[in-house]
Amino acid sequence: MSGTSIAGEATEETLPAMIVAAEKAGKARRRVNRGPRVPVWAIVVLTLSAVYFLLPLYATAVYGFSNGKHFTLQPLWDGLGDPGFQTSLRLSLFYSVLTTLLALAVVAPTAYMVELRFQRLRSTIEFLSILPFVIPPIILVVGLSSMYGIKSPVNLLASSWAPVLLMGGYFILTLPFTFRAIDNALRAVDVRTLTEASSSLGAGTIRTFMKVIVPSISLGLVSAALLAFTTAMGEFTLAALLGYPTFPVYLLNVNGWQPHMGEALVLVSFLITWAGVIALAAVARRTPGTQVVRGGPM
Amino acid sequence: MRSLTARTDAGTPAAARSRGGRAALALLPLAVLITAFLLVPTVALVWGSFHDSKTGAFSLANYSYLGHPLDLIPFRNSLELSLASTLVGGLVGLLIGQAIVSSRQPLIQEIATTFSSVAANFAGVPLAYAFIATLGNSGLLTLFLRSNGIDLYDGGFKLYSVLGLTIVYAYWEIPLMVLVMLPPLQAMKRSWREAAEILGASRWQYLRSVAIPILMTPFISSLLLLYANAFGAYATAYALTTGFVSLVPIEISNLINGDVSYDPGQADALAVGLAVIMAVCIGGRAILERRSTRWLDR
Amino acid sequence: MSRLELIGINKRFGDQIAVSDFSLTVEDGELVSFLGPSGCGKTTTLRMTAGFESPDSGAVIVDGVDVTDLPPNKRGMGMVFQGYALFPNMTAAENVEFGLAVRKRPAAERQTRVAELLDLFGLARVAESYPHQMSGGQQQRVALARAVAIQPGVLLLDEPLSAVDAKVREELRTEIRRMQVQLHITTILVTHDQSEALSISDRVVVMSRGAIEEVGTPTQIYAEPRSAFTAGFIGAMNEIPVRIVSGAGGVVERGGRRVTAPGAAGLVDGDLAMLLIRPELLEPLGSTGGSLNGDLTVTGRVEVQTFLGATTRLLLAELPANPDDRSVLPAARRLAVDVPSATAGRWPAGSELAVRIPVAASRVIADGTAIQPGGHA
Repeated sequence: MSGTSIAGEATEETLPAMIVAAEKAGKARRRVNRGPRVPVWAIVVLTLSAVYFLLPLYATAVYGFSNGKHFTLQPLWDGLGDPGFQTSLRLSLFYSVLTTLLALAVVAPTAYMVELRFQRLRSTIEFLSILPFVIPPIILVVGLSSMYGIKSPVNLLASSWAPVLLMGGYFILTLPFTFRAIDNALRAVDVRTLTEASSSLGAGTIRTFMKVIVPSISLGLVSAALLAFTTAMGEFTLAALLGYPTFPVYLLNVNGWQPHMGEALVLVSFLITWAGVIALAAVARRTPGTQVVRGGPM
Repeated sequence: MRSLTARTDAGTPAAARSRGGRAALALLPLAVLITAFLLVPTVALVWGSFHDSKTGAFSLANYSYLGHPLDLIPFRNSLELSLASTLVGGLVGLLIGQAIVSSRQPLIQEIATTFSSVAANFAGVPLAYAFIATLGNSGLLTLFLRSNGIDLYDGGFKLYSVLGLTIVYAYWEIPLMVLVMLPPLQAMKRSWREAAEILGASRWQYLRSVAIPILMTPFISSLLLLYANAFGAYATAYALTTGFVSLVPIEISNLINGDVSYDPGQADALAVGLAVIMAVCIGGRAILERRSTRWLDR
Repeated sequence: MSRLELIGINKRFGDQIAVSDFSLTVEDGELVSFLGPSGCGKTTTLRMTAGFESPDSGAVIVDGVDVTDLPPNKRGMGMVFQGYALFPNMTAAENVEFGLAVRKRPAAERQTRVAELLDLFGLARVAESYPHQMSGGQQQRVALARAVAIQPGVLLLDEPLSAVDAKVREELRTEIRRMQVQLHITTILVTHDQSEALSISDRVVVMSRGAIEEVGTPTQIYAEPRSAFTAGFIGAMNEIPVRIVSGAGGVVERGGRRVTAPGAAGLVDGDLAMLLIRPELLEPLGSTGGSLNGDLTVTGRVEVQTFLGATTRLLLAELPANPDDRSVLPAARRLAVDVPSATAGRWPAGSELAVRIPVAASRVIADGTAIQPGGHA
């Protein structure tokens, strides 16, 4: 295109070779119908990335389902039957379930009260719930161990309070996600009006919360629960450095001496995470604004 | 009549105060948990970083690493690794994100988004083992290439090097980028491109003057998230290298857990350094986000 | 500045026919509106004119030059998009300058032109504001200024006022017209708002289901609609059933009275037809007391009064003059009669009212169909 105007009066000069007699233009011309088709470059990019993302999974399966020579499910059965696996998985489940319950029990009422009565506190709470991004597990664990570790005067680790320490840590790690999931759900349902309607019918605050608010934010609660659960199930840093033999910690150790069984159990761990995340994606699709990604340093 | 009395009653300042007091009780559990497991450990960490861990006297010695080039090696390695994985993850993630948007196929979008959520949450020990099975010394891809005359390990490649870690980190950095860039990419209006086109702009002119300036803010903001994410990651790096590559998170863990190198004061100081980097990234991101939402009203 | 011809344009999306056999010539400096319900193909036709879609067959000709295969950025047309599509990263002035900048016009010329346009549209005060800092009306003006900055031969407006509120809308549409006349730009306005189309167009193209229903000046379209679709789509219209007595003589019958009515000529004898008449043309008989020669009457009971400002609309349920009529002709559904608000007090709800139908101002069409199916220009 030349630098001269293509507009208005200059049209004819700048459209050379395009001059066709009007009558010629009048006759029907068939053109290929351009439907929405996937561009070639997009297909190439998506295919290549699929290879990169699927190859490690395939390799894990090849190792996990082999005894070094040929295909067998033996490593998987060995792994599932291993007492160490069972103990560590039970411990992980224990902490994950408790963390999830703690998160729901604490975050939901707080978020409700903030939305209803303490709007002034909103920015404070939002800031506090972003803090764990700035303080990733590796930093939190340093703080926790110097405050509550073996060498500390408040030695929780060696006391019967030890489970509380890991749960507290997990609660903090999952707080940004659980708070946001529940807060989004609360904002979507107009809590104030619901509460006023409910109390005008004679219900007290607790009754309103349990019978009206909780059912109306149930999808947000499910998201929060899944986020807390999958995070806790896969968490390694706090557990390893504070000395809790959870499933990820066991996985690290077992791989050193039984690689095939280790890889088979890695597949088990994938399945657990995936079930959680896919369930989360399904819930998130029904609740706009919920984020699926944890997005914090892992 | 009863409700009318209740109303008058609630109207008195004393009643309002007691009601507010009871409501504030609902905030107490969260306040306790945040104080006990986030604020107090953080304060302990900062305090510890300025005190000699043996004598308890005030000291700046823990920060001596800032003055010693040799002690800054973990920072240099972490910086290099984070930068590399951020650039790879950022660029590839952007490309995949645009490919997903350009495909205009709801099914592709659905699958890619769900898979990205899975992959972005897939880190730590299992990921490390998946890559050992793929690119480790006797990994599937390594063996395949070796049988075709390309020996990665003879060529100097190591999975537990910065290059190897970059490939592994990209596994969650790319999908994380996809997830955070999809909303702004989808918010790009088709009519912007059409408006530029009808005003005479070529595809490149549109990209340079409209698309790139609009997407620059969310892009940089996403890179900051990726950077922080890589910098603070511990589990994957530890599982891959068993502590042999000197990265900030790994040095910190050695300082609080190692027998030889045990020095909580120094761990505290390193953690503070790491937290400062995280705060800069997350704070910068928060500022950029505010600007980007003004342009792309999502 | 240009003459635009659309010749035999067809477009389908999959199995869906979007536009069929669309032909229209827009004269130099003319403002033509495409009016129709959503999904009638008006926006698709506009987008094919701009070059964002290519027609399956047919041609777009500007000043005798076939531009059908030219990409949009080579057509030199101006366009205002639904929702404006202002670039959010540019100020008002930068938005207006964009088209000149991509043409690499000298900086001095660009500045003068931008300043001129901002002045013309009353935007000087927001020159350095970003779109998100402007009101809807201001954004709309920036979009217009940006579109005309490149001195386009043809200006395309896609529902330009749909995103602003009612009061600003009326103000802006006169402004669009003033600007369009002043700059003498050939313009197509796509809208679903009939008052917008009627108030500022030279001609209106009424579209339905991908085809042109009717083309005419606003007055023609309003006063003498040639199809039931147009009649029903534009303004309030009373439909009064009549029977064709003589297609040859253009004579219809109702309530025992036979009259000669416009449009009745050529219809089949004995068939039912519709006589169309605007509410403001019906005259309450009590008020004038004039003779009935050549006209029809309808008597009814006032059901509701609706105050419309200067006029008040009475909704009339017809009372058959004698029971026999019922068996011959269906009653008019409900008759809307507009009377000056000052006199409306004479016919409170529940009262009886006889109105005269000035047949000469009405139009008869075959029952439920257009007189000239797909009557193209």
